[in-house]
Amino acid sequence: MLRIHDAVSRRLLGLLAIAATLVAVAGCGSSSTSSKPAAKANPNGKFTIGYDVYWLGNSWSVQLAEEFKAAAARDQGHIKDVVYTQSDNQVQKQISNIQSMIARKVDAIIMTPISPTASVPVIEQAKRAGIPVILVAAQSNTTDYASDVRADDVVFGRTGAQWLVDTLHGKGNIYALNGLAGYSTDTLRFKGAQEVFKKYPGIKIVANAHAAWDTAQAKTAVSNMLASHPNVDGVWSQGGAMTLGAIQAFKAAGHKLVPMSGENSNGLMKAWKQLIDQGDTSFDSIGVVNPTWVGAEALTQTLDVLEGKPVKKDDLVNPAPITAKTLDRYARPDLPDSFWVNTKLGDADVKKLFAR
Amino acid sequence: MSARSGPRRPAGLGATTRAGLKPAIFVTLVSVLAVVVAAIASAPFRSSTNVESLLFQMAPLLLVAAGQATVILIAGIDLSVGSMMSLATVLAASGSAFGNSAVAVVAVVLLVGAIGGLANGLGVLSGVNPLVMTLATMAVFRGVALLVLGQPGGSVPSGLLTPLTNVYGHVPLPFVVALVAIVLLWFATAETRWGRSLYATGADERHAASAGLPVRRTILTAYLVAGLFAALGGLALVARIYSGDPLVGDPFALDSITAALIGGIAVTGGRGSVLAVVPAVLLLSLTDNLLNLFGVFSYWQYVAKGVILIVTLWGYHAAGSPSGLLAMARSGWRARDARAARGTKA
Repeated sequence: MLRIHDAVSRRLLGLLAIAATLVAVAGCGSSSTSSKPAAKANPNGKFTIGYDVYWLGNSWSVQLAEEFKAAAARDQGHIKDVVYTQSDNQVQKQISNIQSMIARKVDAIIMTPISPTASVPVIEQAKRAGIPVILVAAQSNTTDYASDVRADDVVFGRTGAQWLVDTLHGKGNIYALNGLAGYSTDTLRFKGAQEVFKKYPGIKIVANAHAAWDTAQAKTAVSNMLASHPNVDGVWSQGGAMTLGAIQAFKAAGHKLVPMSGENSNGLMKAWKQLIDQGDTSFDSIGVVNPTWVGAEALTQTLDVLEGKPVKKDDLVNPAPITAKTLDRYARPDLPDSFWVNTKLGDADVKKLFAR
Repeated sequence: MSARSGPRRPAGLGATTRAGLKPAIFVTLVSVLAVVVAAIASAPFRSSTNVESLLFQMAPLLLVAAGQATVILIAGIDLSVGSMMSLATVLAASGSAFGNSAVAVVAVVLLVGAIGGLANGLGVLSGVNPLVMTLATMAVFRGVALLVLGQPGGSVPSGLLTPLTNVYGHVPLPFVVALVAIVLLWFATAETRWGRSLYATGADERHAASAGLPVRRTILTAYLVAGLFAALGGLALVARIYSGDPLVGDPFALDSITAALIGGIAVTGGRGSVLAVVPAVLLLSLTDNLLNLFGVFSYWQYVAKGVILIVTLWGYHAAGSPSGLLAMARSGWRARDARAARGTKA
């Protein structure tokens, strides 16, 4: 039931104005794309590199970006310019950022895919435009990238789980602390752990929570778990900050500490060292390493790709985990909890990062 | 009957349509100017890669902002649209559950969008504040999306993905669909009995009811439209991410509100034009796009968008058509009710 008014022409004018805008935008793309062949190797050139910072929302992601920046500063001889974008952990934004780098015709793109699937089309698009894409610290469901430098999350989960099972001699009730639902890191680490636990019927996960890789949330979650399942022999945690939260929760509840898997976060290293110094024998841990220096390694790979040197397509780095024996080499009591040990950052860079 | 719905629209709905569009001329001009300046200043901006990227990027926000605008027109708000978009993407990526049929997937997605929107509408009708109701459904939709697909991935039926990612010249199909859908929605809000009821309800619910307008049905359909357009927006997102992602829609809840306000939809309801979200979305997308191309650190994008929002609201204010929060500050509920009452007697 429509009622057309006499002012229709005026409204159409408004509509036309808006349509004109869109035609103007669309018209901009009139220059046709010629898909370049793959970039030619250039052994002595200087390159423009696009680096998409996927997030600056936690200390790990900040240090990852810092490792890259420091490496880029060390390697100025090969770099003309670095174009930085920041995706704020938003898939949509990352796609736009990468596409803006393609439009700017950078020589190579380094990115941390926020989503393994959503990143596929844009990586393929870059390849069609002749721009190699180097992935860092995460993976994508395509083979069109030039190289992927990361710690394998399944191995990460498995390493902590295997250590826990061995320490408990294959028997006991455990808590599982996961990260954030909906993130592939979370799923893959837990998958690795479950692969191990499935082989040991004596191991029972009596409580499981998502604590966002966060100390405070883990403390709350574990406090609740201790109330409902006080019989616990171990904790599998897929993050060092969460392990620290678990330690705090056990202490607050007056519960005897148990072996807990962990990560290379300085907060855990410091707490662990302190427990050893206090002579606590009920606690033990393992610092499974998710190195921030993959940021620096990604630059090495990128320059190798651009200079035509052979690179490993999947450069999986899973450094040896930190144990009670090697703990002293890594723990940094002089630095804050948010520092990630096993870094390639120089001491001056680290101090600068935490002086801010 | 139009005279009863308030003194600001004495000449009936045609006038409302004009009044809604007139302030948008400013935003339209600014966005056209921005396009022209950018095209001259930046070679990468003119590249086909960038233009396609920009239009692909605009499509989901256009759709969800148009739905949001409809709800804001009745003085409501819908925070759940972002989660509904995520839910739409994970449903689209669960194509195998629907026999990998593109038609079935689209039907299921739209049906879920409609049901979600209806749920919001029924909640609001039952007396729950729209902010609270849609905050709750936001959580529910997110939970369901995570239950359907716990992590990004899934596989979208190729029969759906191929047309979705189709590009005519440099204009992607989702963008065309978004424009057509918005023009249809604008026509419905501006020229039909439902649209009249929508504006009247937004201006003054009690008044519209006493004028014999189907207020309850209007509220219900407005939320239904928001749910449907969010679901469509989710499909437009699939064209960008080729997969499902249970969290991908999150930023759209607030972005859609921002776009609607920049488009001049008064947050107090009853004023503005759905069509004006088009230049608003263009302006917002250009901000990201240009700051990116000029290498400005992305945190400035947030600052820029915030400034644009405030500046445009001042613009509407100066043009004598206060919008958004300024309208709220200037005319409280009571003051407006009083004016509306005077309008009736006149």
